[in-house]
Amino acid sequence: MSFLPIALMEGEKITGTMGGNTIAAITIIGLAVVFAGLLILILYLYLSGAVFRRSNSADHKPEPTPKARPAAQVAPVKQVSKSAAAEDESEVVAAIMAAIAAMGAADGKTYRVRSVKPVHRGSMGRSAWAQAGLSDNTTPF
Amino acid sequence: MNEVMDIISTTLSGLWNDSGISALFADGGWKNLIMIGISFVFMYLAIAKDFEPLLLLPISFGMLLTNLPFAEMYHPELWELADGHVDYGRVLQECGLLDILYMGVKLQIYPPLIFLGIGCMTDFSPLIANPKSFLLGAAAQGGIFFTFVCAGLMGFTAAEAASIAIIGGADGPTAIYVSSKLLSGGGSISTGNIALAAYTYMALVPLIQPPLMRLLTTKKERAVKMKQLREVSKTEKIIFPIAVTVIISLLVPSAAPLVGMLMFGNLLKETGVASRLVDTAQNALMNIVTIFLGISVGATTQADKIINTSFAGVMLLGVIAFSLGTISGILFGKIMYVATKGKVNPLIGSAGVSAVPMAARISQKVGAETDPTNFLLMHTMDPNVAGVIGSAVAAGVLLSVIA
Repeated sequence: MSFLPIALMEGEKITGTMGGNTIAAITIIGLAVVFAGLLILILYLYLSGAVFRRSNSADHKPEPTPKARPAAQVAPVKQVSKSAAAEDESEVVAAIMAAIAAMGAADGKTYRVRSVKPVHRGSMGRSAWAQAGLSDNTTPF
Repeated sequence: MNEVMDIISTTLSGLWNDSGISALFADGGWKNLIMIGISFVFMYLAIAKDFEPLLLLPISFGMLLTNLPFAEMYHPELWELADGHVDYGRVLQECGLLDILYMGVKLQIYPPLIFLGIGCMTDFSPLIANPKSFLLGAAAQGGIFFTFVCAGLMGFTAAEAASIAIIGGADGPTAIYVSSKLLSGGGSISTGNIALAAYTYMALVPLIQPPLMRLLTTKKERAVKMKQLREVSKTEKIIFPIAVTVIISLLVPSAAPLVGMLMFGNLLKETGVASRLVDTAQNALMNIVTIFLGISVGATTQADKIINTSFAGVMLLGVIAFSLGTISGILFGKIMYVATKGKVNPLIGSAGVSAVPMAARISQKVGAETDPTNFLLMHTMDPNVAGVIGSAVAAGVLLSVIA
């Protein structure tokens, strides 16, 4: 290891101006230690992540449905949730329509809902509401 | 009557000689005038242009106070001793207000306390969810070490080269921590030089980084949308600061004060059981320390220390350090882009230079320029906070091999 300057080899600290070997040695050691330290942290995070994901998935495993459960009991629940969702949607449509009506009232115009269709999101991957929320939160940056 | 006139003229002459105005027109007084002018420019940048006002305003006011002749608020002769040993008894006897505040810099108290506050404000969950971002935080530290090479070859001493190089970490408290520890003698550059260069360039991140980012990446690379990160459990968030403290402090003990306090702050936040302490650390304590740190660092920027060729060298190497850090991060980002078959946007690499959260915002902004529906902010925070840890480790390495 004659590449290393004597001070570094003997564990002493470097003082004064430096020669080419000293500069190169400190640079290589520095970069190596930074990468080594952060690689150890990456390793730790992958290991702990795997452990936590396993324990989380064990916690969230769905309970097996009892065989003797009568089908009649399940059906009404489904119906209720479906109709509740539809009610939610129509409430949202009504609220949006009310806002449009209020906007049009100023100009003396009236609007009517003819149909409500889901919009194909294409490559955006998120709803218009999520998109607007994200824009709101990130635009100040 | 003549006697009265004599007394009046003698008194007026004494008053004139004792005034700072006469000193400004005496030998070397022009340097103070220039420094006062520079302090006004920094105040303008902080107030009108919003350039890091929380730090630039205290620094510029400290610069003003220290360059007012005969104000006697800061005494460099108490601190800049050839043998590097400060006589604290003498400091307490002969000090001004800013000398007392400067003790927190010299004894490396303020930077770790700032890190405590930063820890309370930082959410490490994106980094926990995406650990490979640590590599980008490490790569961006290339700026520190490549600048170290440049400074060493330019003839700066080891301590000066390390203090200048750490500017590339884009982390003000870390730069002050390293330089106050290494620059103990009466050398040509001071902690104030380093802090001034570091904060100037941190304020100029929005001007320095984007051209480099556009130059080094293609439109296709900038448009990459990254996958949403997994949810991180509270237990993981609590264990993370403890694990980082243990691992980094065992590996690089010199980094323990910075990393330890950063992680202590984060532990307080994540546990949720010490909300009063978190509130104090991230608000009152952080603000108090920021004022003390800023004004006392500003006090070290005396005319003789700034108006010389060494400071010009520091400023030149500072911008090189920042640029190299950005370039290293982006190039490593490009390697990750190739390695992951286009899943990583290389723009997030430039956020590896700490400068939290400015560098992350810049990556988000440049990404959104290419595709307005691309939101990189969460992903840019990974290398950004990894960069804080990375620069603290780099600082620890430099402190452990250089005296």
